[in-house]
Amino acid sequence: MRFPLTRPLPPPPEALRRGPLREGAFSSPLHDPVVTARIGRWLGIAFATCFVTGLISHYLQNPPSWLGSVPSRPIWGYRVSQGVHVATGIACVPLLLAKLWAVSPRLWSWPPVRSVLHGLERLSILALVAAAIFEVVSGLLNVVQWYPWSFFFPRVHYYVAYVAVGSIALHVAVKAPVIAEALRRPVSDPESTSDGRRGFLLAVGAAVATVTVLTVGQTLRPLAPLALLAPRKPDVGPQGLPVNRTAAGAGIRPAGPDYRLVVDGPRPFSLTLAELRALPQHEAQLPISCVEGWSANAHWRGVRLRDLLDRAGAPAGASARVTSLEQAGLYRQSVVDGPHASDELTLLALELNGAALAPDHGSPVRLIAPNRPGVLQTKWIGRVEVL
Amino acid sequence: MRTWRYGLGALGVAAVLFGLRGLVLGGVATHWPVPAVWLVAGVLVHDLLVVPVAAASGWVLGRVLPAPVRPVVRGGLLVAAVVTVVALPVLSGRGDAGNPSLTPLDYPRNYALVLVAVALATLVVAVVRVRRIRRAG
Repeated sequence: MRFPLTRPLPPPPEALRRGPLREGAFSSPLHDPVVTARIGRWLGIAFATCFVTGLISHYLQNPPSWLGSVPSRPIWGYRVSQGVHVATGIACVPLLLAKLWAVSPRLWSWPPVRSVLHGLERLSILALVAAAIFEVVSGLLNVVQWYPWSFFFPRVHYYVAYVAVGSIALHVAVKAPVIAEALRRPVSDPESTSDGRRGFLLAVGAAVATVTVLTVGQTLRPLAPLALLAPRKPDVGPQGLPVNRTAAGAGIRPAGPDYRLVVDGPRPFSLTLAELRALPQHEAQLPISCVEGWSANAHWRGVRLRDLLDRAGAPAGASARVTSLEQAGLYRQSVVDGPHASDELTLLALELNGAALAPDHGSPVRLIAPNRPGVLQTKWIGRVEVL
Repeated sequence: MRTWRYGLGALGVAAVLFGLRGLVLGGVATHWPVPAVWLVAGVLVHDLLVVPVAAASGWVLGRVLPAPVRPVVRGGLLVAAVVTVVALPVLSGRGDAGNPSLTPLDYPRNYALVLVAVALATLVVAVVRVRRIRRAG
């Protein structure tokens, strides 16, 4: 097996070796493993962080049977993990560009394929570069809800993440000796201090800091005034809170006097809006934490979900399904697992920041629960079922 | 090659295959020929546009600028280019027009402000560097 995989293949004719394929076509001292290994280390950490936080978000939205129930605390769990996911993804823009720049002469290495094994390795690099660029670009477009394609973004972003992280793991395994050697060497040769490597690494660091400061305020409130390029401002929106899906966008008309909240279970019942308001009201300070990386705290007031479930005769720790008045839409239903359904902070909210819910925030009633992705905080609820 | 490298490599190959399998078998949700085009297009745009433009600007700067300020200006341009990439989606004006809380800021003004700030920072660093080199030399 070993022999044919590594046997040298006949090189292509030397006459083809022109332009960027010439020997020494790339002379910049930046194209050196001491630079690529250092940027690669940060890029690898960033991609691993995005992968783990991405899996958390994926499993919260598509709970697999082996996972069991997700705890409803800490309140800020999803807020932090998804905020880190998007902030790290944005930081990958300079890291990825710098890494690819540093290794760009490799694209023109000669001969293009030395052996079958070398060809396979180059193929894995192609997969790495393609998947890494795709993840960063598609993520950047998703945060402004710009979808110039015909596939379902979360699913494709999820699968391509495996291609990216897998090919990075393979790349690290193949290059381990080179990486280890390069990280032991100083960045610049002691003789030549003007090779620009330090300046390049500093500029990459400055770029990471700049794009982070300009966007992270969409979730990190103290930095909100500096978030000049963030797609959200945590205090801009109806009732001082951003909205992901508007009532008009969801095709929701204002609820009339015939509105009923139907609660289905062993002892089913339904409530008018006035009856809902007459039930004991509770308050909670909970964030909306969106998959798109913004989050904002708000003050909610409404009925505890568990009070309604108890009244419907639900057994202790039961799960529930809430259904929106929306006719269609991917997120018109969501399941509230036992830990969330029995949490005292989980409300069917009627009020936000001291006033009745605005239509865009889900009037007359919406779900708000701790440690839960925003898309699962179902709005315009018409029905609650005990599962 | 030590065992852990084989292990990591095998794990990586398994993850790549899992991802490709999910894309191909994903049906209408993944619609795999479309992401395939996007994957290839990303590489082509990078290798045939981004890298040549970066190389050409580096080459021009090398001819035009005196050596001490060269790395500073290159760094400033790098930061400006990265800011531009990150700003493109919000500058595009895409997204849900009926949702005023999505992209609520004056992004062209903000983008211009950031570029001015990057240019000023670059100038300051360049002046400091030139002075330090003059004093030393």
